[in-house]
This record gives sequence, structure tokens and C-alpha cells, in this order.
Amino acid sequence: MARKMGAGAMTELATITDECVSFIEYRQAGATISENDYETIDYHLRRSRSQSKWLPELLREIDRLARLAAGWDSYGADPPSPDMILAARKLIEHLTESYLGLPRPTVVTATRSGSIQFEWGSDHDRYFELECVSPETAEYLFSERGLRLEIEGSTQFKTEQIDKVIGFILRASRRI
Amino acid sequence: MSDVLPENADRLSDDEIVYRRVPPEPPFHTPKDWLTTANFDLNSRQNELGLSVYCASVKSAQEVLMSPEAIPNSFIVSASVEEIRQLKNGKGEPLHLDVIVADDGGKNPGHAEIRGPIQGRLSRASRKALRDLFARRRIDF
Repeated sequence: MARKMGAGAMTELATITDECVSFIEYRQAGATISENDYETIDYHLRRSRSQSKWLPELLREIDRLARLAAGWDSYGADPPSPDMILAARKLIEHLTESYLGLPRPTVVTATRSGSIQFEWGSDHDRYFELECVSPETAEYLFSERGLRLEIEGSTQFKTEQIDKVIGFILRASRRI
Repeated sequence: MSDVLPENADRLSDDEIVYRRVPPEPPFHTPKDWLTTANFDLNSRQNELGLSVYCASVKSAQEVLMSPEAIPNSFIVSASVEEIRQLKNGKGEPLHLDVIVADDGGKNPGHAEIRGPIQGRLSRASRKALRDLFARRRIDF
């Protein structure tokens, strides 16, 4: 089936790549593809490959956390709220879409107030934590002992502030 | 002493050791045996004022571990009150944490709370400092 790629095809492309339809299969199907579309497809395929490594497993982990009962820590912790589960999924998906090859969080855990927290950094020298505190907001702490550096802050999910968060993740994961 | 402690707060002595129970890491916690800062958070929805701990001079680690509300396979971590009071953030600034008796008029013997300088809140830096401190002394049976 011939398919014409052009303006407005971005959403369709994302769906197609998510379903793992390869570039070659696409051409065999007789698609008319421009140079720009090649780049777009390549981008989505790379994104898809990057995410496939650990994101599905992490999303399943978040879903399992959703099943924690009240008092799961024996000190009266709240179970994760559906809003925060959704927020955590959205946040991690947005981060992986914003930076190809984002390091996998070292820890994903429920918090005592019913939210979800991600942590990066497997030693105590560099550390970054990111906790969803509302459907669109997360709070964070970055710490680097060697530099006597500790930064607390908050970020909206879909703003340029997220670049700063990605910087902290890469630093804590020793990528930079 | 913190400004937000109750006037009649019964502060623990520096040489007291306190225990905190930590639930077993579920399989989705990675890596295993990782103590997370989330274990040292206050439940803001329930307006908790302090982080629950138990005094070693009143309850043994085993008693804390075997209490009815404990989750099976939990473990115990400990720290001295002096160490908690001396905690600093990553920049070397004091966190002004304190530990007070919170035994509910004797109904909950040995119970105490770690309090921060802001009522009902432990900063992220405080939680991390507590995690790093308690992580050093895990009690295995």
C-alpha cells in the first residue's frame, strides 16, 4: 500500500515506529518519503530503540508500586496515589523522549506521602533524586560530595527547566 | 535546639542510640539493600511532625523488628542522637535536626521523633544526610 509521507505525518510516524515497523518495511510498502521524512523516521526509530532498553520494565515497576497498600513501610505511609503514578509515568517518558540514551534510574520507589521518586547515582558521592509532587511538577535534590555541592529545586515537566534536570541525571550517572 | 520544638519537649541525651525499621526492598528496588531517602521522609498528607525512631535504652533492635506492625523481613538501621544532631548538608551547613521523646504519654514506650527546624518538614538535604548516616549501621540478626 503506497503511503504518502508529508506534513501532519508526525503522529502517525510515532505510532508506526512504536509498533516496530522498520524503515525497510516502510520502503517496501511503497511509501513516498522525502529527505526530511527520512530524518524524522530515523529520529523516531532511534528514540524507540533507546527507550526499549529499560523504559518498559521501569513502567511496569511503577505499576507494581501502585499496588502498595497503606502502611507499606510499617510507619503509616500512604499508598501511591493514581495521580502520582500517572505523573511518574509521564515524567519518565518525557525525560526519555527529551534525551536519547537517558541513564536508567538506580532506584524507583514510593514515597511515604503517596508519590513516586526516581534516584540516579549508585555511590554516595554523586546523587540525584526526582520526586513527583503534582501532576506537572517534580522536586529534586542534586548532591556532589567532592565539590560540596547540593542543590534543591523544582521543575515543571514540559519546560526548558527539564534540561537542567537531565544535566543532573547525567552528572549523577557519571556521563559528564 | 530547634525553634519549633514544643516548649516541654523531652530531648534525648546525646549518647542514646535510636533504631528505625526499614521495610524489605521489594524486587523493583534496585540495587538490593539500597537505603533510599524516601525511608526518611515525613508523610505530609498525615501532617507528621517527626520521623519515628525507637530508643535503644527502652526497646531492643529485635523488639522493634518484631513489633506487630512490622513488615516481615524488614531490617533495622541505627544512629546515635549525637550523630543526628551534628548532621550537615552537602555544603557543610548544620541541618539543626533534633530527637525528642514521643511516647504518647507512655503508651508507646521508647518511641521518639527526629524533628527538623521547620515544623512538619524534613528537607531533602536532611533526608539524604539521615539516609547516609543510618546506612552506615545496619543491624543484621
